[in-house]
Amino acid sequence: MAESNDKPKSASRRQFLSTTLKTAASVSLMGVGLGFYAQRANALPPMAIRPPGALPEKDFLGACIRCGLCVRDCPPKILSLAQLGDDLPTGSPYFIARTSPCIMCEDIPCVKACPTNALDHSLTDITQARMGLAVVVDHENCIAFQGLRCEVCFNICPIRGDAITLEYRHNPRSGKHALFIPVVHSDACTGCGMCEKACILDKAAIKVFPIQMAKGELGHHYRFGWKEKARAKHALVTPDPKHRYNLPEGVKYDLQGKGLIFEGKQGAAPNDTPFSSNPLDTLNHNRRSGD
Amino acid sequence: MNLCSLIVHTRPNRGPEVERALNAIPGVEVHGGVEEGKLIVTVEDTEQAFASDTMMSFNDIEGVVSTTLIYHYGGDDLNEEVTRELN
Amino acid sequence: MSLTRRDFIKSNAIAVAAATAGVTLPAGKTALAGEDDGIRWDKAPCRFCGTGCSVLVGVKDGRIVASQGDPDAPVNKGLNCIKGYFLPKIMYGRDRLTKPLLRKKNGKFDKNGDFEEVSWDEAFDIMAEKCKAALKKSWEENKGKPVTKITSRVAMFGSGQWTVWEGYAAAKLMKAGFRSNNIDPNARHCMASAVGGFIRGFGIDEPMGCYDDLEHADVFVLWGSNMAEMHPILWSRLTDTRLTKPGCEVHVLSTYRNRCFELADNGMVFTPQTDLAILNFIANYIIQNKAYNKEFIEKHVQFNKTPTDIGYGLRASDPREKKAKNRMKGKLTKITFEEYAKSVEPYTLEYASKLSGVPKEKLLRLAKVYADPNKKVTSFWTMGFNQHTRGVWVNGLMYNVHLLMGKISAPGNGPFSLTGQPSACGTAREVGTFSHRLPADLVVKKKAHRDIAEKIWKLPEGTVPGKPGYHAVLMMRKLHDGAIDFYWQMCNNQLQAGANMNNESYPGYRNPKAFVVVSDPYPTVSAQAADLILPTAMWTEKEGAYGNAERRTQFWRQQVKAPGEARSDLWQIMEFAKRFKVEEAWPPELVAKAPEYKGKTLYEVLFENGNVNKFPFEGKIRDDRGNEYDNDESAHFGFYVQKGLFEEYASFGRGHGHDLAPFEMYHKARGLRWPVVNGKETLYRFREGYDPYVAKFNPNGDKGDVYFYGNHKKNGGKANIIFAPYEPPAESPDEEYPLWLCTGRILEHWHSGSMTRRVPELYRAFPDAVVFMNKKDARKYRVRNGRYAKIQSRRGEIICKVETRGRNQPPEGLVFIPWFDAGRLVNKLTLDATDPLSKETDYKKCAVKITRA
Repeated sequence: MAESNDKPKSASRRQFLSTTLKTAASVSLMGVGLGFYAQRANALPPMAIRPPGALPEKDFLGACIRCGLCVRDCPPKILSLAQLGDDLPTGSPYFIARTSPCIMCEDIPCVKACPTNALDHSLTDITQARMGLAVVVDHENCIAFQGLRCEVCFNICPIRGDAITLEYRHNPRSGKHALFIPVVHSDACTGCGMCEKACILDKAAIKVFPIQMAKGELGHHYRFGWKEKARAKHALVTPDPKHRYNLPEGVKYDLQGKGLIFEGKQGAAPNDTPFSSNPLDTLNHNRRSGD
Repeated sequence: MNLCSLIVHTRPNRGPEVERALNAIPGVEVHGGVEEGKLIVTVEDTEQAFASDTMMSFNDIEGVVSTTLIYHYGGDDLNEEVTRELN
Repeated sequence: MSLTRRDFIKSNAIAVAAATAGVTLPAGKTALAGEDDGIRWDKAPCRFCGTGCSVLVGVKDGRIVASQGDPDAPVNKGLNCIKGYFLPKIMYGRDRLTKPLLRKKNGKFDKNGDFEEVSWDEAFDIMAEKCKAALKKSWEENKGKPVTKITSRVAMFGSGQWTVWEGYAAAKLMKAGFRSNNIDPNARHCMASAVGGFIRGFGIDEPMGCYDDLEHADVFVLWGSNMAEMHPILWSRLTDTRLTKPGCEVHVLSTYRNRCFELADNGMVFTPQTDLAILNFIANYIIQNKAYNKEFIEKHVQFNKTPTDIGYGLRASDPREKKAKNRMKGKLTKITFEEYAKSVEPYTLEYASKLSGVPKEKLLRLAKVYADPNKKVTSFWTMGFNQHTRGVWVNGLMYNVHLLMGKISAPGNGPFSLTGQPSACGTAREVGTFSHRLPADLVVKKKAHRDIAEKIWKLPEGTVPGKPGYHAVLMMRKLHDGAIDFYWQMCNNQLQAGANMNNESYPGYRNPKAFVVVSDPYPTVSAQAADLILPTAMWTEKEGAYGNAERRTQFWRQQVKAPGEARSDLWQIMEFAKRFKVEEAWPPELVAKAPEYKGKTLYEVLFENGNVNKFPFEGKIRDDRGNEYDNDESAHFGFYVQKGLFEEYASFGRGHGHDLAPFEMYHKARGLRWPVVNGKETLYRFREGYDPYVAKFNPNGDKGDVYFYGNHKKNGGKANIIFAPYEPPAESPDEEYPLWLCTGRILEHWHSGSMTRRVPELYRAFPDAVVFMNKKDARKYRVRNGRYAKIQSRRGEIICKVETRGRNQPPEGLVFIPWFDAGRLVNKLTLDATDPLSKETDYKKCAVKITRA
């Protein structure tokens, strides 16, 4: 008995191949999840990024009159208008980060040119633009994750040191080198796409996606305690009283930091080996426990 | 020339018999996932049938719950030798 | 196993489906290519900086099809920087030169003609004609002069990127064949001050420590070294130690904020040139606090001072040179410890802080780590110290600090000068391709040293001239002045690299009196200005050897053939030597001393001398896995050329503290750190237990004690502490030119960019040079980020884009421009002021102004 999935049955071969081709185009080993997402958010294909200040996609499409003035006024000519047959509503402006990212003009001429506020005129500081969000999508092929010294995305980032930072990690494989891992921060990344363009791999390991596709969302009930504390600039509840401990001589306790601190050799020895620095301790202990 | 990969979901414990049935069809190969009930299958065009027709016939096999297409390649150059060069 | 697209796509299709379903497949289903994919793997050191990473090169059907970091190489453990990642691509640039090109008009050579393809025969014909004319003219000028006064109109500009044997063959052809000491490498721009510092301090060149310091130090101090970008793999080792070792600190000193500051615990931006004062302050602090290692000083140190007010290595006609009291003087005078203490006394914390602009607490923190006897400190430096009009001084001041504390020649403790080229040490310094040097630290000025060379080379006494030749900067001036008639540049890009190109090097290259030959794989800026271009085989298109910054010598075999008619520098040098009869190169009285050489060619005299042609070549090179390799030079000349040259060269240093292992060992090992004595490497020089030479020179010394045997004859094995004061730079900002200009490199591009700018991905990552500057300066001079600006100095101007938010963040009053960009030649701006002692150019300091373009 076959509980058939009737979709393929009813589909003509032609339709079938055209939809599969679309899927195939966005599928790669690491891109699988995003590829599926792309189908659901199908108003905007994943690689087309709207100009700075664009309203949320639905509002944007309502407001944009396809006049092309933003494209005309873009100094590096990176913006294009979607053509008939593209996956975008015809005539709407977009850019592709991998080939022609936004150079983040300080005076934002594309926004100024927009007659309808589809590109929001309240955007006057280009660093506040959120065209998309860069995501390091492929940790297996990004050479930085393997310990190679690349960091091109970090170096080229116009919001230097804020939108992309490097996280130093020990490289356990080599044992003596560090890893310089690029990490993107959504509070600073404008989605300009300079990083995606500059990525030296044959296919970029860092890609800019529309924000709704790229970002996860924390459960609404949960807060990260240390971030809340930093924001409040003080502990949210009464600070601890000063702690005091029963400790042998030469041992201290650092509550917020290192925990137990052994001063001098006597205390430190147990950390290095299971033996006391005094051989007699070991010898006598064994003898006594043998009693 | 078409080449597709699919996930074929089977009813519990029917994996092995579906695998046998699939492997008997020309142009079809099962690569794993039998125990999980999620068969990893590739389908290619043969002289008798297009890959798409072959795939649709999967739904008539006893024990198949659904088939999901994952990957499709269509091109004429499948038998070309690949030389991966740096240039 | 042959792989079709079907296999490839199918394995992709399976992998994607399996990943989606969360199913794990048995191994092999998703593997793209098996072990036996027909790729032959072999090792080779990286072609770029002095770190000396090893890579594995994968060859199939005569082409490099793959590469990987060598996982078994101790330096890099399989890692590479972004340049190393693209290493094989440098050989496959679209515009590789494959035929000799000569400037011609109406079928004949013409200095103002256009380049036309010619045969190697025609190329060598015109070269030999011009070279012979220059030799003849030199003879006439040298008539009646003793060997110590001989000059020459023939000159060669060589390279720290030459393989060991290329540098050796070139030096031999120049110094013995053409009897011209006018051979100098581009390493003059990079390492000469470090060499001067080593020789003056220790009597022997090159660092005492090795890269293991990167794991053993408690504190790292970077002085004018942007290791984060220039030695990327070493920086990842340093960073790892900082991360994993409790209490580890990193101090960074530079004239602008660079990427090292991201990790720094104590980052210090100082006013250019005041490193001299900071170092004297540290010495003073150590003495004032009686922190110095008294026992070490008494046993191992001699105190000296150096002449001051020595000029700036400019042309003698420059007013700054006329004013200098002790122009170019460097003879040391012995002083006492008390006199030394008195000399550094003015360098108080207040004075050093005021002069340098570094806050007091930062300087104090720095001084304290040096003065703490329980902290192991490794100091690294590169061009910030070396490209300095007081480069030898500042190198010495660094040693002073380490010597006062006895923090030297021990794991984690030491001053460590890093190199910028793959074989600045191995070729330029060890082989001695400098205008004043011979192999293994010998110098042309000393007759005893020339005697050694002449004996090994089987040449008559008096063959090698005793007068040092033209160093790099002087060579440009002499070319400009018409004192050089034949000039051959090999394996570097001097026209782009030399300072003040508008007024010295470019008019030199285009001087109608000179015939300029450039050997290069690509049409570089230098090649564009040449008269004849010779197409050159590069990197693994030949068998080679490099020596990195930690004295590690590494070999590689020829992996592929060079394209078209490109030939290696070694082939070019040896083949060109065939064009000269001894009688055409040497005066009759010298030929008369060696009647056996009468009628022979220089090739026969220099390279078929029983040493170089000692080892037969059997048609192929084989490794121990049974793989076969070409060796085009050996096939051409009929003997194992590289081995013969290496063994003759190695005989200079064996038994003299520069011992190299037997040739074959290097093809097996991933590099060995010299001196290699009885098959054992030396990690730390001058310390008993680590360095076998200590016991040899100082048999009664204590176990584990140091002995600076380079000064064994001079002062009984003591290192020299040399006092030198702060003196201002040659050119400082003023009203008309209000900004400092500092030049240097970036991670993505190497040196003049002739290789890395031909890798599309690297070009995309950093296309063109920009001027890095402070936001406030940009506002002040009305230039904008991302827009073009004009930068002018007294010598020239360039236009480039402004970058105010980039990786380098200069303080107000300083701009930084990298020099890799052939389209924006920053050396039009720089001043050709040099260290009067090392003759190394100061590329880090001159005055410019900036306006909107």
